[in-house]
Amino acid sequence: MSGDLTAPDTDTDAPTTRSLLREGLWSANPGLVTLLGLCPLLATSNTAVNALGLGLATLATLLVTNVSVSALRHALPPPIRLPAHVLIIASTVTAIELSMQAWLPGLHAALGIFLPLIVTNCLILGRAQAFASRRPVALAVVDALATGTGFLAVLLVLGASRELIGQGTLLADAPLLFGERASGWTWHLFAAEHGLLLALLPPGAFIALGLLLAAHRVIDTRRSARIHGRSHEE
Amino acid sequence: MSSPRTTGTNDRANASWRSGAVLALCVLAAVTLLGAIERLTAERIAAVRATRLAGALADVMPDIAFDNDPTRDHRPIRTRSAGGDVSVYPLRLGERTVGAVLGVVTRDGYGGPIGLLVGIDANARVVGVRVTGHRETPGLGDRIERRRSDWILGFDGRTLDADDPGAWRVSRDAARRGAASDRLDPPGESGGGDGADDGGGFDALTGATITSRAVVDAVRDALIWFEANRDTALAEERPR
Repeated sequence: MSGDLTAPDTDTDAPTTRSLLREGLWSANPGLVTLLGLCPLLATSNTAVNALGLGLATLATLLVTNVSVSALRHALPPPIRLPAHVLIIASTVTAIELSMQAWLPGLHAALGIFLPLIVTNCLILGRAQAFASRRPVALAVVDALATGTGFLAVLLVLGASRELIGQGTLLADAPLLFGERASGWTWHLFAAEHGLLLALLPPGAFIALGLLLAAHRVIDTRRSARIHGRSHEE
Repeated sequence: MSSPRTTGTNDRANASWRSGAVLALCVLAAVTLLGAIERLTAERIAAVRATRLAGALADVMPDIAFDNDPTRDHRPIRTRSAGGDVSVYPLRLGERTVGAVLGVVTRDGYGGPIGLLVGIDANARVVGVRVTGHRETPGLGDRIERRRSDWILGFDGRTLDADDPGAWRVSRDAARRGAASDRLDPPGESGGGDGADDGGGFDALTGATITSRAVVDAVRDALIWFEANRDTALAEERPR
C-alpha cells in the first residue's frame, strides 16, 4: 500500500483499474471532492433506504450510459456527441424509471421527482464526456462502477447518519426497497420525537455534508503528512 | 482555385449529413427501445396502481359489504364547496348505495397540498381516513400518515354533529398537553361523544397544528359535501 501511494497518482494517459477505483471511491469521489450531483445527494439522503434507492438507480444509470457512450465512441462524429450523449442518458433514466415504477412502486413513490432528475445529474454527463467517450468499454465499466459506488457510499453515509440523528432509526421503510421480508430490518435507537429534526430538513443535509467533507480533508492531510514524514526519514 | 473550396464545402456538407443521419439513427434506436420497455412495463404499472388504489380504498372502508368495483364507477366531480375537486368512489350493494370514498385535496397544509381518502357510510359516518400524499414536515406533520402514528384513526366513527359546531375543530389545549396527545380522543360513539372535557374536539398533533387543522377541516368539508350531495351525486343507477 505504501509503495502504491508514493507512485505517481494521476497517470491520466493510461488509467488502470486500480487508479480508477481509487479516484472514484476516494481521491476524486463525486460526492466528496468533485461535488457533482449535489442536488439529489442532499435532497434524497434523509433516510438510508431513500439514499440506497437513489444511489443504486444512479449507479445503474451510470453503468448503462458509460457502456453505451464508450461503445459508440467511434460511431459518433464530434458535432453530435453532446446531443447523442444526452439522448442516451435520458433514455436510460426513462427506462430505469419505468422499470422501478413496475417492480419497486413504493420506492418509486418515495424518490418522487429525483428519479427522473437523474438525467440532470452532472456526474453522469461528466463521466460520459470526460471519460467514457474516449476509453474502451472495459475501462468505462470500471469507471462507472468506481464513480457510482463512490457516490452511493457518500449518499448512504449521509442518509444513515441523518436518519439516525433525525428520527432515531436505521433502515426504516426497508420494505420499500427489499420487499416484505425486510419488514423486521429496522433498527430503533430511540423514539422519533427525541430526534433532532434539523437533521432531516435540508439545512441538516448541508451541515452533514460539510462534516463529511471536513473528515475527508482531515484523513487526506494526515495521510499525506505521514507519507511526507516517512520519505524524509528515508 | 474554386475547385478546392468546392470540395471543402462538399466535404463539410457531407459530414453534416452524416452527423445528422447518425443522430437520427440514435433517436430511432432510443425511441424503439423505450417503446419496447414501455410496452413491457405498462401492464404491470397499471396493475400496481390499481392494487394500490384498491388497497387504499379497502383501508378506509373496512367492514362494509359492497359488490361493485368502486374504481370502475369512480367519477371526478368539480366542486367548490369541498375546496376543490372531489373524486367519488361510490360503494353499492345491489342497487343500494352503501357509502362512498371521497378523494379530496386540501391546500391548507403546512408544506403543500394534502391528499386524503375519506370513507363515509350511508349514515354519513366516517369509517376511515387515510392520507394519500403530503409534503408536511418529517417528524411532525408526517404523523398524519397511518404508518407513523394512530392520529388519523381518531376520525373513525365521527359524524357531523349539527348541535356542536365546535366539535370539528382542533383542540389546542390538547396540543399543549404534550407528546402524549399523539392520538385523537377516542371517538365519541361509546359515550354520546360530547360528555368529556374535550367534547369531541380533535387533538392537534404536537408541533403540527396547521397540518392537523387542515386535515380536520378537509374531512369535515368532505362530510358536508357528502351530506349535501348524497342523493344527487351518489344515488344514480349503475353505469350501463
